[in-house]
Amino acid sequence: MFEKTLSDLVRGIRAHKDNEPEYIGECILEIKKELKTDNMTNKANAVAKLTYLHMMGYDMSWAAFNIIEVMSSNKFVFKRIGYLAASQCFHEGIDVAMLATNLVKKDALSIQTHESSIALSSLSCFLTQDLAMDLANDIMALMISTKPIIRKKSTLAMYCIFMKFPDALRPAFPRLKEKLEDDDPGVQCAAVNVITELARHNPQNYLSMAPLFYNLMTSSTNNWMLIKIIKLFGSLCPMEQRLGKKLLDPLTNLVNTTSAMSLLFECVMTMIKGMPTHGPSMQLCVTKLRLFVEDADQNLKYLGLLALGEIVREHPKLIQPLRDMIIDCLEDRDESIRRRALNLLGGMVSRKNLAEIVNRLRQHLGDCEGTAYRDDIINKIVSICSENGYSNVTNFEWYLTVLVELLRVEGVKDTGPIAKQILDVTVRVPDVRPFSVKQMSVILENTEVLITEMSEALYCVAYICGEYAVYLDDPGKTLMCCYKQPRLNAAPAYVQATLIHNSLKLYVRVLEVAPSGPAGDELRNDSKTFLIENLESSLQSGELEVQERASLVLQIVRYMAKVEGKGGSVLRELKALIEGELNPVAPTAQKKVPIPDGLDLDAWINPPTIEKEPEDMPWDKILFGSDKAYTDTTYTASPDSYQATEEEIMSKKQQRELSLAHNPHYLKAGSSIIGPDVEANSIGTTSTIDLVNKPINLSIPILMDNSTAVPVEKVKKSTKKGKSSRKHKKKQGESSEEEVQPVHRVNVALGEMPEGANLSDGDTKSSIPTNNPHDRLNINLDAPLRDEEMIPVRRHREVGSVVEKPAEVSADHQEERKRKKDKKRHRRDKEADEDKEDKKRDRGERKKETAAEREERKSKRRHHKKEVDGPDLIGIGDGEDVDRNQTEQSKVKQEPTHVSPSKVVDSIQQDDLDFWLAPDASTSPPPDTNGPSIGASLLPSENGTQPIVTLEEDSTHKKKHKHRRDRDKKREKHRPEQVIESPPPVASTTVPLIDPTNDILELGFLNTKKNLQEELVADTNLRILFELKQNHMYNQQVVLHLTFCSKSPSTLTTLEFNIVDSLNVQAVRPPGVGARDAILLPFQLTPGNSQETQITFNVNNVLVPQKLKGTLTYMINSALGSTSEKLDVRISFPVSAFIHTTNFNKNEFMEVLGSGELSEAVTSQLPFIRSTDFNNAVTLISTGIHVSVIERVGTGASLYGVTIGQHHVCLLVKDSLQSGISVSVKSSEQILSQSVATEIAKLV
Amino acid sequence: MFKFFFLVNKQGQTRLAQYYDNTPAEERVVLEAEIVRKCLGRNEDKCSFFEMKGFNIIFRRYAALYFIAGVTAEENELAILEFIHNLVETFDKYFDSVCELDIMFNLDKAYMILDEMILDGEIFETNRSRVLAPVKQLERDMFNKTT
Repeated sequence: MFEKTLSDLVRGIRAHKDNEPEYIGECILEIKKELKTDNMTNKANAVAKLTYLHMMGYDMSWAAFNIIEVMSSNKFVFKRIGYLAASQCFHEGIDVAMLATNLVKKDALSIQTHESSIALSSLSCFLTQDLAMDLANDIMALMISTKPIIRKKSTLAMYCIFMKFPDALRPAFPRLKEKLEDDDPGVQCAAVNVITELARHNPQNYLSMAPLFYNLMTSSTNNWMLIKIIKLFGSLCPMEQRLGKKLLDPLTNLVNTTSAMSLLFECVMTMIKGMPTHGPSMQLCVTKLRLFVEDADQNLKYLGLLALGEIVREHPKLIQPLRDMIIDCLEDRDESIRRRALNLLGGMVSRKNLAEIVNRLRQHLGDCEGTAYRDDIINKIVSICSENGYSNVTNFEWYLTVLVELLRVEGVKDTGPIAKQILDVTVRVPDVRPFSVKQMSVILENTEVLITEMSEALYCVAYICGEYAVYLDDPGKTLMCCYKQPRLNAAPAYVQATLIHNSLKLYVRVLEVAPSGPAGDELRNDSKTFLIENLESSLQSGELEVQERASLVLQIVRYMAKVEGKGGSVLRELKALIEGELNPVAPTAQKKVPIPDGLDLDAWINPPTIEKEPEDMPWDKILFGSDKAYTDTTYTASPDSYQATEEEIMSKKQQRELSLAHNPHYLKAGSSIIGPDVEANSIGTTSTIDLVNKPINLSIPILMDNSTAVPVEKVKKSTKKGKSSRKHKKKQGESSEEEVQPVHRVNVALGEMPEGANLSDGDTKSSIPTNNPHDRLNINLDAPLRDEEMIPVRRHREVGSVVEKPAEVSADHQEERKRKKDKKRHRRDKEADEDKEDKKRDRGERKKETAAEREERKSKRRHHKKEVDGPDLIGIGDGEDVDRNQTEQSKVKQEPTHVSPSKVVDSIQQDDLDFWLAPDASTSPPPDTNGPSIGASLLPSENGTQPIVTLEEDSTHKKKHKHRRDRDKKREKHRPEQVIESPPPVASTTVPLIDPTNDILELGFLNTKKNLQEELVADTNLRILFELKQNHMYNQQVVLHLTFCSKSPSTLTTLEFNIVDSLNVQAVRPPGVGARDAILLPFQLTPGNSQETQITFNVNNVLVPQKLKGTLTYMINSALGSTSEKLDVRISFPVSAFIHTTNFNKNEFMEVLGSGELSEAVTSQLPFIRSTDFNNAVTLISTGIHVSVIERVGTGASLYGVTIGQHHVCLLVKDSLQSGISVSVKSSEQILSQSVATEIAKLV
Repeated sequence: MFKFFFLVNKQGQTRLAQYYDNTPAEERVVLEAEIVRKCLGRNEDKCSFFEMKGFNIIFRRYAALYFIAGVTAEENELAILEFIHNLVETFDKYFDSVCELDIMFNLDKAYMILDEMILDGEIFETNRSRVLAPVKQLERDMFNKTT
């Protein structure tokens, strides 16, 4: 019975190249036989062969059941074949996949690593919603397996589960987050992958995790993971501006150091997304991308151009130097590279370089191949010139010449855009008309045979020549050209019609200019006979429109001849027929047509019927009653008995809008098509518009008529911008070009939509359930878990109960779950709303509210929910369900205790996020500092000497102030001492709850508490707090942050700080302020308020503590008048103010120690500290002196920091049980060591 | 994220195909044909990425075999190229200078290696020895059972 192995099959197929289908047909028959046997080996073999055939494109879904049989084999060799086949051909539509549920579950939970692993691997291919619900809990359990590979696979598999079963996300998320800190780097990487994927679609929910990822990023060396993390930041950055600043440093660092192109590219892309307004980093990106583009590797070139395309939108100037390089890319062998370069060029255009770029493109047009690509270039030329209402074009004669030449380029498929441009320019720029008309008449004369591509052009040419015939030198000649054969007959009907129609205009012009006397008479006669002759032949045309136009013109000409024969003249009347200037029509004009009094557009014209209309019946037909067959049925129903429900009305409105949108003859009000298109429409299809509109006969005066300027005026009035105003542009005296600014208002705002569309749009999101799983995964992850939020657990039936078919069971479950889920979703919505409200309130009351209160409120809410939900849960089902509920209840008890600590951290973290992001938090790097100190060099300095704020100094300045105020508020929360009247703040109540394992969060938090401003000086009116920070951007600089708190009931103004510089410390004063002048602080202090400022100092000697003296003067402005006050200030700079942490690892530290540079050691004893406080002492020293702990072994710890003058400072803290704790300080300078030791002694 | 990954030879015959997004079988055939046609049309001069139907195709040619990955638009193209190379090196290590026939006659092994490297559409493991460990383990198991 055993026929062929897979190898035989493969060989067989190769051998039967000529009659492959027949051979495979035979094989499939064989396979079917094999599948019927009881022998598992045969079956597995058959399935393996089927898998191969499936890959070749043959259907194998019929064998789904057999695949499950093979999957369930207890021999791994067969099981593997089964799973492979399943992963290839199972999909949601296959019913039997349901049968696999138990099997997959069993295998996934198997103690055999390979079984479990294979089940997890192929999960994504056949996971259905039901399967996801059933498996969610089990896979979550696997995430804490002891085997790294299983942890890793189950973590990744959770993503598929979330996609199919979004409700699992919240319960599973704490565990997923734990995996970020798993011991195994692979598991970490998997968790990063999952979160990155999730965050890509709903970044706002993952913002609070930024600090966690930041730490991972700075500590990881795995490029794959780094790419993912950086990508994640790329999606987070647009959500939070400050994050970009925070990332600036590490990303710049990576960009400058990494050798992996993929990582470099990812960093650059994230920088572009995260800090698009930051000039220096964009410059860095451009520099790096330039290397990409110059590389010989086509892939890098392509990506370089792609990324530059992102930058060009924000910084077209930065790309300018690369112009030649990009233009060279136009010659590239690869079309996709050429297209990228073309797009990039489009973004670079300015008024200055337009001509040059267009000329290069035209040259390029001559050399390149491929019609599609040529069309692209032409479209690009047109689009870059017409951009922003031709704002870049200075000379329109030049532009027209370019366009005319483009018309003549061979092999252009579609001249439509060019022709429309010519028309548009001619209509909008009156001064260029004479030039344009001359060019057009030449084209009209010279094209002998019609090339189909030219038809569109001919249409515009004819129109221009006719409409602006006044500028023609010889209208008679042009008139003859209109009827050139065989061109005329070959043209499409609409072009013929236009030609004929415009010939009338030309004829009128001929009559007008013809001199009186016999010569003129002859001319008149000639053209008359010519016209009549040609028109008569055009009457024979099969095209209705041509016929109509021809007969119209013919009759007019004949009538004229008749009148003239009697000695009269109708020239004046004839001229009146075509008189009037045609203006561009505003795209919004249609909408602005006023509704006449007494017209109710919502009133029914024909009462609707009760009968449901067939879905596909176009609404306008119903409305206008033009469809006979339909109106007959309409009237069968009694009109009174019908009341249209609102829904129906809405749906009809939508239907109508849809049909309007698809109706090419309808001028769309909100259409984004601008200028040329509208123009062409309104000119070319005037007649058709009327045809469509006539039957309505609502006696509305049609203001849309081209010849009246009313709509334009309307637009002027109703749209504030008044876009249609004329703009004068003089060009070097040679030709003054006046440009009618095209009415380029494309209204994207909802307010401009036709009514009805607006209403339905608002609802779509909430009411219509979307199929996109990512929308459903938009879940707030920071809110604490509620009790009822948990993954459903599948339970077996009681032993002894009747065995049911599995399919039925799952159907049961499904239905019941659906019910439950609906309720849940409803609840979740409610919850989300409540949360939002809470947040709002939180923000307002943050100052007053303590964490305790908030916590209480939250728990209250939770209770409240429980009460509400209680009955629902119980009321769901019968006996079995009660059973289920019990398990859920018991689960409930476990779950909160398990997750709550980390959840509390979560909420703290969320509050802390703002703080973390605030640049000020930067001087307190997490003491675990293996990574670079967070936010190093992110301190934007006020004096404006630093590159960070070079762009838009003014606007960012204001923003900064605002930020600072926000920050202030936050700081107040974290700094109890500062705000005198506030109760014990968040910190003291929440610290004990922090999970000690969660070091990053904890340490970050401790820092914010420790890093307090101290009081500098105070008097009755004023209190000044200060804090010293280093300026990481510039060595040898320290920044003094000052907070001024007003205690006075009056406003304090003219605060001036007079600082006496010493030899070693000098204040950096704003430009224009002398070394002895006072610094005027840029604010006033209103009662009860506080303000913040910072002063930068240059420090020449960082080895010893420094002191400065100064005075602060200010005015008190009260009702009684103003008095001046003076306050003496002493600022002391301890040595620690000059020391900062670095991201040294142990090896680097050892290197420094071993280098012999650090010769000067000072040891001091700290006898007052008990040995039990050793850890505290280390933390105290590390935060107090700003050094990081490199290593901690038993009762010793080594710490390291570096001064802003680049002196190494190493500390060894030892706990000798007898004599307390000793600290030895090693540095290259004796005096520095001494100063540090003294400070430590003071500190402790 | 990967949408699919496949191997085709110069004649356009699929030699390995794995989908991660439930694409129906009929569509697969059409999709493969279209992508393969485009890939074959791109010679050495051209870059190895192109966009198609909302996702990016990234391919690399090794002798007569094209390794083609379909990924979502935001995926890092260079990283995927590196991944493909990694996969080829892994095949090479396992099959000892891999050729088309190796993959044809050991389809299950090839799939297994791929599955160890991409799990549910995400790059899962890039360390060659860790990828090959389960495959080799399986071989040993089978060998032990037969002897």
